[in-house]
Amino acid sequence: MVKQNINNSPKVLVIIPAYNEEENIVSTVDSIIEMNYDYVVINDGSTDATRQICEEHQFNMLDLSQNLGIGGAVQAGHKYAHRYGYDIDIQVDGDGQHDPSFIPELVAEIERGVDLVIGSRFIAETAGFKSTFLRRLGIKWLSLWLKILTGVDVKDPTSGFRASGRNAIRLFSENYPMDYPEPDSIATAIREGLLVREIPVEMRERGGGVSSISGFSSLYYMVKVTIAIWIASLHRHA
Amino acid sequence: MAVSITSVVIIASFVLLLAIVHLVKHDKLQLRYSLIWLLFGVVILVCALFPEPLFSVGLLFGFSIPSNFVFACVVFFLLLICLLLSSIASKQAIALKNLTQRLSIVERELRIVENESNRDL
Repeated sequence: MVKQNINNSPKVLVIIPAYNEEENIVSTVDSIIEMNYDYVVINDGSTDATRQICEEHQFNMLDLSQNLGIGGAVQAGHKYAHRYGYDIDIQVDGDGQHDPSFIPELVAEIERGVDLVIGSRFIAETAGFKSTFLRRLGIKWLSLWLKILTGVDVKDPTSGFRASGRNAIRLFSENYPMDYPEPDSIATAIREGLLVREIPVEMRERGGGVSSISGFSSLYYMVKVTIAIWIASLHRHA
Repeated sequence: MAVSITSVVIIASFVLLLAIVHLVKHDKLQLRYSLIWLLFGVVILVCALFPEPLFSVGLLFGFSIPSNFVFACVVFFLLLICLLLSSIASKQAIALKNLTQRLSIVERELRIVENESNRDL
């Protein structure tokens, strides 16, 4: 259901990608409904009861016929946002790690003219969940490469908690990476001339279930993501 | 003037690496399938710059002529890539089959809904 636009407030869509999140999906979606935002759950070919639970609760859902991965699932959300004329879309993961109380701040930053706002765990000293030591090290490495290649300082390039304005929605509908989308898309957005900024947020520890990025600390994964960032940072026709 | 094989291979491997990066950047090759090719290009470049280890390993495996060893390696690599590609094509065929089947079911439901709303008019 698309809510009507009263006053001049922007049309906001919350994209909730979910893969096997039967334990967390209801609380995550309920917290968004409470805040009165439009939302769409993207069921990414879950093999557990995620789809059935969403159907039982009559959640607004796109049911992908096969697992596409976080990149494909989130892009489906961007395409939905683009098709139905949303001004802003916000990615909130189905596992409940993203705290929806920060959504208004993300929206406010977009309204100040930023194209892509990233909710970052590492800007301010906050109490929130900050991931393991190895992951933080890996994140620092990716941050460093983004800074070298694009000049933009992004302290939390793997954060999926992000808001996209109309320019970003249009870009990502047409062009969004399937592998390692979070850092890759930042490099692509900057290369396409979009304004990318971070604001501090707090994240929660995953409520239940299993993370889909279990191999983060592996060297192989880091090499692959680094290459992805290098290539995404190239100018077209380099 | 004779051009050494080494220089040809070095230039060729650079061209290969650039071609791969170009394809990935312009969405003609997915990153996940490009990685093995990037690795191949880097290995070739390194072997061209430092051919000694290649010759030694070739002798170890019983090849008296180094180029035979190189050919054998490349053929083996290509066989693996072909097998990998066949597997990727198979996965895609299955995904397409599932999509086709699902689409037919969804279209039927859409037709039913349209018929019902036409009847109500």
